[in-house]
Order: sequence, then structure tokens, then C-alpha cells
Amino acid sequence: MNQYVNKKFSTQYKATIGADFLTKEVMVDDKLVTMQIWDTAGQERFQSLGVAFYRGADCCVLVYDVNTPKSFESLSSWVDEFLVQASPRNPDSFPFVVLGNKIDVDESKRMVSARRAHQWCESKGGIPHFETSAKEAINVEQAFQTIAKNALAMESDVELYSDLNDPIRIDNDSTNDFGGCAC
Amino acid sequence: MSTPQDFARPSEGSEADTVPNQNENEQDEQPSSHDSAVEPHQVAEDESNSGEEDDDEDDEDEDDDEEEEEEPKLRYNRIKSSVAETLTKDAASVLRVSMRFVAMGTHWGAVHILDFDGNLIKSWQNHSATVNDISIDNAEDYVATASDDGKIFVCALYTPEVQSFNYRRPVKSVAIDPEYKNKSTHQFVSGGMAEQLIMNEKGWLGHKDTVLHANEGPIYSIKWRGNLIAWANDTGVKMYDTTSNLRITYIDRPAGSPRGDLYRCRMCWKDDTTLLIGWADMVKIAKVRERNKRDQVPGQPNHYVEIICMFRTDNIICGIAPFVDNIVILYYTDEEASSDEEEEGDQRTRPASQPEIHILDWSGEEISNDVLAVNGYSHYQPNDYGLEFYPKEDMFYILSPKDIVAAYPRDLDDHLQWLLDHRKYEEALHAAEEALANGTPSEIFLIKDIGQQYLLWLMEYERYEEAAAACEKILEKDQNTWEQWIFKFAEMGQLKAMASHIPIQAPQLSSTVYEMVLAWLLQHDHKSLLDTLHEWPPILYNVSSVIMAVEDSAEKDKDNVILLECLADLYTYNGKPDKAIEYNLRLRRPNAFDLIREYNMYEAVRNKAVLLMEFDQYLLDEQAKTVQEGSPRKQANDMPAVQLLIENTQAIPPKRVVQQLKPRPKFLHTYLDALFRRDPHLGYEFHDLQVELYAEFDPAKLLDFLRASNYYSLEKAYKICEKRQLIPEMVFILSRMGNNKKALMLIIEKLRDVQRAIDFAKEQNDDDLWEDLLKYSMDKPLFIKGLLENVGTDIEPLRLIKRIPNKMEIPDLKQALLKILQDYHLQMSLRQGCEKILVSDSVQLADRMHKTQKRGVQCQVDAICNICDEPAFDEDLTGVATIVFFCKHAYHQRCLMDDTADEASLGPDHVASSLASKVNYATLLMSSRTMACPICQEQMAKGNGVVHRIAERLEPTASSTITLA
Repeated sequence: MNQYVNKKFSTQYKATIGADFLTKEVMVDDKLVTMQIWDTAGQERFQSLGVAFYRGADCCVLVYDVNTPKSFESLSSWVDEFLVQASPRNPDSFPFVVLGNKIDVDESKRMVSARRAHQWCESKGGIPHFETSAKEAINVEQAFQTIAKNALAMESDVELYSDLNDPIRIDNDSTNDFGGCAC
Repeated sequence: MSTPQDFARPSEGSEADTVPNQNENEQDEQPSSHDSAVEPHQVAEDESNSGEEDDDEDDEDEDDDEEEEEEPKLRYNRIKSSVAETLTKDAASVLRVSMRFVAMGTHWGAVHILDFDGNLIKSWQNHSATVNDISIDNAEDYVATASDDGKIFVCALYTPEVQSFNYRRPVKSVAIDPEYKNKSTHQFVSGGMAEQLIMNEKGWLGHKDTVLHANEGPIYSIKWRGNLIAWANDTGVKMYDTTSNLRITYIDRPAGSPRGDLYRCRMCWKDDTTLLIGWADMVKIAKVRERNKRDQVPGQPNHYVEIICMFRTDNIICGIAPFVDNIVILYYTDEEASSDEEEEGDQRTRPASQPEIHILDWSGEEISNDVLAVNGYSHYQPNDYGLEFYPKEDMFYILSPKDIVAAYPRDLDDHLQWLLDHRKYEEALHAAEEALANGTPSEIFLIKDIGQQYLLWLMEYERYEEAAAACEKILEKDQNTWEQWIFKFAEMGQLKAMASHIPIQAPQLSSTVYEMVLAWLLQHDHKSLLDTLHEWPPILYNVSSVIMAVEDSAEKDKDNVILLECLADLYTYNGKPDKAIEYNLRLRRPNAFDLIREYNMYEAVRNKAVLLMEFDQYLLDEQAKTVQEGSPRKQANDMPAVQLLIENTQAIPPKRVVQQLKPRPKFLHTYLDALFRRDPHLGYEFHDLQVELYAEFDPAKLLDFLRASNYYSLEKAYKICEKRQLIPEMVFILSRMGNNKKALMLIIEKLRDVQRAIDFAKEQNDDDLWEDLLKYSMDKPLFIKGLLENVGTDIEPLRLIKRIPNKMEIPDLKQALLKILQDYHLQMSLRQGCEKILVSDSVQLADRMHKTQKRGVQCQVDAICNICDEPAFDEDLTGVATIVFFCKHAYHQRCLMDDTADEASLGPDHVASSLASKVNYATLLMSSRTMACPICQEQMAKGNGVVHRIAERLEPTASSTITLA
């Protein structure tokens, strides 16, 4: 996240405490969009609290560590969790993006292959999948571009179905970070 | 109320520990069903109930613990009402207390304004994420809220005015200018993940942001008071002075402190210059001070900050607040055992313990601590908690995501409750009484109730004496409760302890109670019964029924002195002194006599002579035991009972007494003896009897009695004495009967007592007796000797000596003869001497008389003849002779002659007229010499004859009257 917004990366490990977000203005299809990227952590402690963060999200980014199979394996549960908590209008078509981070680490330590991840994404209805390195800024730009695009597509959907009373958030995006990701 | 600290200790029965935890979990799942505040003490009760079996075993330990345990300083109360409902759906993230209300922010982004009891006043939802901070201005008109969604809203409470500011990064803290309402600048300071401390103020062209400080990590907390803004970032706490627009201080964090965002910095202004900082495990108290004028440098801050106290704590601080002069800290505690095992990456899953409220002094010394049971505590992290204080009432609010707990300083009721819970009833009682004395009694706990709990407790521990003693104080004048308690004591069989404490007046209890107590004592403790009877006025109970009961018992236990005493007293109370006296006599209680006298109960004891006498005997025995040899003793007949009998012979006729005492001759004797001594004539009819009694019990006194009494029959008395060979008495009786001879014979033959015989003879002064004595003595040399030695003065020695038979050997005859002769001689010379004295006296007296008669008689010139009343020496009557007697009465001779003889008719004319007449006259004169003065003669003969005559003469008519007079 930091790499994407501020073009910075810190090797200092710091677990996310509480919630943080950054905003970035991007051009998508010639439109200037303000993207709010949320980084949540620890809120699963009291289940009901997560809702506040998921609520109104336009896109959900799931990040795993390619060197940590456990983080990949728990993706399914995070998807379910998100859909339960955020309860979007059309859960089947809600845009997710999966990022396999830390590909800069030595290849020998890699535990989750790109193929396995792709297969999983396909099984979930063709979720876009990127392998990135926050440290080396590999694929970060492309990944967020896709995120913004998908989110905007969702937004237009919402616009179609929404009744007027519903507050419209045009600049929302969501990132779900977990398990040792550094962004 | 608090949870006792030991209760949470893992060492003390972990099993018990889990019980409340489970409860908590259940409550967490179904908070709506949990409609009353779960206070820690209730949990404690659960535990004590579940662990009751252990209680008995660990009683001593627990007692020790109780002694050590201190009373908590605070009372906790879970805020319920509408806020509790709100928190079932949402979770609180922040709480602020102002003077008039409580503001709460939630993770959902809502802000609720509550009253102090948690009732919702107002709420709104502007934020889309967790509300991190709320700041209220002093006027309490504006509320600023900061949220993770990057926005700050400043809302006016009483107008629709809302201002929104977007800072694009989560805002962790906001502080509104305390004077926000009054200042047109409308300043507030905020900071958060953007790592900037931003001052927002209203200027000419709308709002303007100024970065006061930046780039030292996220801002965690901002507190604005007066002119000072304190904030915390990764490096420490800094302070900014809004008047000089300068940072005045930097309070650093020690190296290696935990991450600032993991444990949020807690700050609180105690007053305008004192800031309490609690951050992770470190407490610092900072005091802002002004520099001396001379040290002030332009451009440099005029203030500096001094850390006046600093200490480390064992646990993570989740809140800090001042409490009077101490500090209240909300601690977050980990499960210590698990913290070692858990990897640091799994921190968030580590189960937490219940938070604790500690009160510390400024040196970090702990004053008290309480464990709070909040819902779902095991999931919480330090940043989820909050501690806010309400300075006006020294009240605290403890925030957790699902609970708000209010903590109050403990008042009297809490104090009492605590004391009661800890079985410190005595102290509780004391405290309640004190409060009453101060005029602020507890409304919940009545002294009486506390007292009764205390009593129950004492009884439980079988401290009945104490309980009974406490009753007076506790039950005071409440008749009903008194009765209840007395019954309770009775049930426990401990009335004895109670007996002396039962009130006898104010309140006076129903007689049943008193009777019950007496009955119980009768069964169990006679001594106490007696004491109690003495103590209680008899009006309290039905004396007759008590008498009946006691008599029943006494029947079974006849020798029970105490019961008899009881009866004696009871009868006295019951107005039956006769009975009372009887028992008193049986008991040998000295007051029996007083009673008899007091109630004039002589009639009553008329038939109790034997008892009375026995009493005397008892006293005598006692005396014999106690009185030392030689000291004066009372005689039997001086004893009170006898005295009583003999003093009141009117009421107690001797006849009756004698009748009763017949079987006890000794007593009879004592009585009669005393009676006789009092009045020898009173018991005359018994004197015969008495002779016998004297002979039997007191022969020494018999003789005196015989001498003094005239009522006994000599015959009988003699026989009695004869039977007992009481010779002296026999002698006396015989002499009284006139049988002197026999008496003498007795003396001589039985007593062989010369002296006595002689005395007897002397006493009787009877010649025949002497004769007998001499006759009988003649063959007894000792008698002869005795006679020789003693009778010299009484009889002629010859009479005796002549009779001494020849050739009789008499020891010391010579001496005896000499003695009798000497005695006789002495007698003779005495008599001769007496004669001489007599003769010389007679002579002397005769001589004196002669002299006296020869003395001249003085005659008055105007003396009057006592016969003719003419002047005795009238010059006109020449030739008339006047005779004056020695008694000075004067008479004319002729009058005297006339009066005495016919010759007086001769008259003075014839005097010397012839020789014959002269001779006659001379003869007459001669004869008249023997004449006495007529007046004196008459006086001697008739006493007042002269007076008679004089009176006749003076006033013949009145003579009879005078004579009569």
C-alpha cells in the first residue's frame, strides 16, 4: 500500500495495529478516481467490529505470502468472512483481487506456486491474480490499476441498482491484508 | 463492590476461578438476558458459594486473609439502561466525561451522548469507522470527534451546526480548544496516522490547518487544558503552549518501550499544571512550572516541566485518572503463564485476564486494587479499555467495548455492605452507630439489622456470651426483637449467657419470656436462677407459676439448697412470708429473723419452733467452727431464734413452743432457760419440767434456778435431784422444805464437805443444827478439825472441845485448837474493844447533852405567852413569873399553872401571902420542873396539834377547813 501510494518501502517489520488507510487519486478510463485503500488488522478479535471496515467496500484485495502456504490456504475463509460481514448486494459478482506478495524472496523458499494460485482463483469465479513484490515494486501498479477498474465497474453496477437514499461512495476501495504482508 | 483480590489469584483454586469466567462468557453471548449489573462482588459470591465446602476446611486461612484484606476504596456499578442495549450491537471505542454528560464513541462510528446513568440523550453517526477520540469544550456545547475514517466532526450539541474536516488518514486523537465556544478562532488540534499534529482554526478565509509538529510517528493522544496542549507520539509526550506558540517540553519514552500504537498513551490533566501520563508500563506525573522572571529568555518558553514522580508498573496501563491525592490506574493484565508460550506474532490471540483497577499513591505504592469483571474481557486488548473520571464526584467510568462500569467512592452503605460481607459485624455495627451519631444514618442498613446479623454470626461461632452482651446495645428497646432473640438463645440452649442481659424495663418483655428463661435456668443452672431471681423484680413474671415449677424441682432434689433459696425468695415476693420464712429457716438464712420481724410474722413461726431452734443450733455450730478459743461466744440462749421466741411470748405462747419442742429436750431446755432468764414468772407452769431439763443439760444452773423459782414442786424436784444425786440441789430443796437436819446429813454424808456443812449451819443459824452438826462430826476427825478451824467465831469453843471424844486422833489438833482459841480470843477482844468504844461514846454524848442543856435561853422582849397571848414579859404584870422552855416557848407561870394544875387558881395575888402558900408554890414549881413545854409535848403527841390550835385561835370559823386540809 505504501509502495503504491507513497512509492516507499520499509523493511522494518511492523504488524498493523488498528486500521489505517491511504488515499490515492488515479485515472481510470480517463476518469479521476480517489481511491481509499484500507489496511485492517486485528479486528477479528471482536467479530462484529469488522463490519465497519468492510461496509461499503467496492473491492476486496486479499494478499498472501507466496512463501507461507498457510496464508494462502486461509484465503477461502477470508472471502467467506468478507461476504458475511460486508454483505454486498451481489456477493457472486463482488470484485476480489488476489495478490501473492513477496516474490522478491529467494525462489527456493517459495511455497505457493503461481499455478496453484491461479487454479484457486479460477475456482472462485475468475478472480484476478497478481504476483507482486512490495519491496521491489513489481506488479504493484498493475495490480492497483486492476483493483480500481474492477471497483469502478462495481460502482457503476451499484449506481444502476441503487435507490437514491443510499449514500454513494465513489472513491472507495478495500484491501484486506493479513499474515505478514508488508505493503 | 469489589472482587477480593485473592479471589482472582490463580493459586487459590483455579477451578473456582473458571466459574465466574464461564458466567461471563455466557453473559457475553446473551447480553440482553443479563438485565442487572454484574458486579464483581456478585461473582465473588458465586465463587464463595461454589467453594463452600472448602470454606470449612480453610476457615483459619480465610480468617487470616480477612484480616489482611483491606476494604476496597471504590464501588462498581455496571451501567445498564439504554447504553447497554446499544452495546449489544455495537462496540464502544471511546468515552469522555464532561460535567453534564458522558459521550461515547463506537467502532461503528456512532457518537452517543449519555447521562451519568447511561441513558441515551442524543446520538448521531457521522463516521464510517471507529471513533478514536472525542473532545468536549468547557462550555459543553461542542463535541469534536476523530475517527479512523480520517475525518473530524465538530458538532454543536444544541444547534444543527456540524463541521466536517477530512484528513485523509485515520485520526487517532482530537482536542478541542476548551474555550472553543467563546473564541472566534474555533481551534482544535488533531493527529493520527498522518504523523502530524495539526491545529485547525477559523480565519478570515475559512478554516486553516497549521502543522504544529510532525514526523515523529503517529499521534496517539492529545489533551488540551488551559493554554497547554499535550500530545503523545512515538518518541514521547510533548507539550505546546498556545500563548507563546512554543513547545515547552518533551518527556521522552525510555528506549525499548513497547510500540506506541500497541499500548496507547493515556494522559489526563489532574489540574491546570499537572499531567498524569500512563503509557504501557510507565507512569509519569509531570508538573508544569513557570520559570523565574530573570531566567526567562525571549523566544524561549516561559514554562518548564518537572517530572515529579515516575514509576514502572507490572501491567499495562489502560487508563489513568486522579483520585483525590492518589492515582487510579486501569490495568490490563495478560495471562502470565501463557505469555511465555505465545509467539509474539500471535499476540492478538492471547487471552487476557480481567482488567484491574488499582489505586496507587504518587510513589507507586499500592493502596487498593479491585478486579473488574467485564463482559468478554478475554478477547480485549489494552487499547480497548478506557478510564475516565468525573472530578465533581470523584467518580470513574471504565470503558470496555461492551460494558461501561461506573466506579464510585464508597459511601457508608458500601462500607457497611463490605464489612457485612466480610463478617466484620462488630465494625459494621460501630460504623453504623457512628453514622447515626453524626446524623447521617444509612438508609439501607439499619443498625438493628446489622446487629442481628452480628448476633447470628456470634452465635454461629458459639460466642454466646458476647452475643448476649451485644444484645443490649443492638436490640435496645424493641420488645419484639428482644423476645425473638431470647427464644433463639433458648433454642440454642444458651439462655444462661442471656439471662443477665435480658432487659427488665424499657422494654419490659412479656412475662412468658421471663418465665421461660426462669424455667430454662431451673432446668440447667440453679445458681443463675437464683441470681436472676434476685435481679428481676417479681412483677416481671408470674410468681406463683414459677413457685410451682421450682417446688416441683425442689421435691425431686430435696437437698438442693439453691432451689430452696429460690423458693424462699419467691415466697417473699409472692407475699407469703410464712412460706418464705420456713424456707429461710431451713436454709439457715439470717434474714429469716428480719423477715419475721418485718412482716410481724410471729404467728407464722408459732408452729416452727423446732426449725427456729435448729437454726440456732446451726449458728452455734458455725460459731464453734469460726470463733477462736477464748473470744467471747454467744450462748445458746442468746441466739436470735430463742430471743425471737422469748421476746414475743404474746404471739408465740410458750405453751405451744414447749409442746413443739418436747421431742427435742435440748432445745426445750434452751428455750425455757432463756424464757426464765427473761422473766422467771413467764413459764412458771413448766418449771417442774425445767428442773428436770436443768438436771439433764445444765446441772450447774439448776441450783440457781431452784433458788430463783417458786413454782416448782419441791417434792418432784427433790426426786429428780435425788435421781441424779445432785447433792447441793437436794440440800437446797431439803432446807427449803425445812428438813435442815436431813440436808445437813446429806452434806456430811454425801458431800463430806465440812466447810459446806458449816456454811449451811451458819446460813440456817439454828442452834439445833449446830448441835446436830457437832454431834455428827464427833466421829470424824476431819470434821472436828474443820469445825475447830472455822467455827471459832460462831460458837463457843468449849462447846465443841468438850465434846471431842477422848483418845480420838485428830490431825493437827494442836493447830486446830490454837486456831479456835485464837479465833475465840480474837472474838473476845473484838467485843471488849467494841464495849469500850461504846461506853466512851455514851459518856461523851451524855456530857455534850448536859452542856447543851445548861446553855442559856435567849428570850425576846416581846415574847408572847403561848397560852394567853399576852406579852410574856409585860412590865404591868409585875410579880408574874415567866417560864421559858428550852425550845424557846415562853409561858406565864400562872398560865402554865392554870393549865396544868388547879393550884393555878390560887393566883398571883396569893403569892407570898402566906408561908403555906409559899411552900405550896415551891412544891409546885418543883413539880413543874418536870413539866415539858405544852406545845412541844403536843407536837410530839399529835404532830400538827399546835397548828390546829393556833388556827382555831386565829380563825375559829375556818378551823374545820384547815383541819381538813
